Amino acid sequence: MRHNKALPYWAALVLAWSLIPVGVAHAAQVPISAAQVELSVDQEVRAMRLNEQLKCPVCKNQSLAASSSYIAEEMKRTIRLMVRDGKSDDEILSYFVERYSEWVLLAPPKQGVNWILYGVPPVVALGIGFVLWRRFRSVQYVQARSGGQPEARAGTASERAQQWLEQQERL
Amino acid sequence: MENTQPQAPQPGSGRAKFVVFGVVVAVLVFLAYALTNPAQNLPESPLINQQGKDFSLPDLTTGDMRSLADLRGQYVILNFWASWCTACKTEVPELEALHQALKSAGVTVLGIVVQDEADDARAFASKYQMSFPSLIDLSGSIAVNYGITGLPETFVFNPEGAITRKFIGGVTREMLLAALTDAGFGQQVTGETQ
Repeated sequence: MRHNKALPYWAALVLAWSLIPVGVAHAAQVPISAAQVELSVDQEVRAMRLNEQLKCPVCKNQSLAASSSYIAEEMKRTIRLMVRDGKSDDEILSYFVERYSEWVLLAPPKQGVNWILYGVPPVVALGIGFVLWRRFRSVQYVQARSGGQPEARAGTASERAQQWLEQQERL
Repeated sequence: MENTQPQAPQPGSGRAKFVVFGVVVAVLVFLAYALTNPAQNLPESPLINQQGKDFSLPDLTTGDMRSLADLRGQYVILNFWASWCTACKTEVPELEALHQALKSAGVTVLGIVVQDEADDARAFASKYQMSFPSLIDLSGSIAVNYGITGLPETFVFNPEGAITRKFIGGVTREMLLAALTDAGFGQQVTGETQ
């Protein structure tokens, strides 16, 4: 006689239903990963751009995009969730600034003392340009006094020496 | 013979040298400041004097959900830790001692496990005889919500639920007692823990 060891249909059904709460409880404990947060192409671009604007808190001047640390990964996941939920870029950046301060922004906002950061480089560049211009003017002045033209500086050293000798002969 | 090599008058050369010298000094000062200031020299947390952000997380050992709001009316020391964190091992006895000394005086020590496996965290809690409760933040979302930059980090809350202090790195009971005192906790209990 063939002995069927399979569970009766009704028992399997009861077992399946009884396991549903266990599955739900387990699912509730396991958070969705960043990759599981599905975004449209535009949203993906926004999320990537935001990852480039925020600093990884446990790295040295590295963006979230460049970091794979635990905190950076969680921040990237938070960004994806907020982008998916329709938050604006400003709202997302403000969320992190409220928790980490403006330090978390890779590019400090253009306000208050931060203007020093943006103002110093062009001022230094202008200063260097001014110094170089004054030096150039002084060279021209010397050449003018010696009867030479700025173009006389062109050519090789031997050509310039020849020009100088010719000047001497003219005198 | 006439001198055909006149000396260059160098108009403004003194000032030009001064400008160059000033720029070089400024750059050196900036570099010295930047190189001697570690990147982790973070500004004070903007969460200080703000209401603590509520959360609901499962207890590490029982699995029961617990929230920060349940602890309103008590001083709370919220410690973020993980079993792999070396500094956490050092500070656990300090937190445990404070918990034992002040648990009946209205101070709750609460741990939050982040970036860790539940089994590893439970083994750690057992090994170091942690009697204060710990919750587990599997996603890490609470860590980001509290602006965590590394482990361990510890927050002190007053009975109104506001954050009064944040410590980055390991803590001692003296540091925590001082922070509790600053938050308004009675001075009389200080002697009990010494």
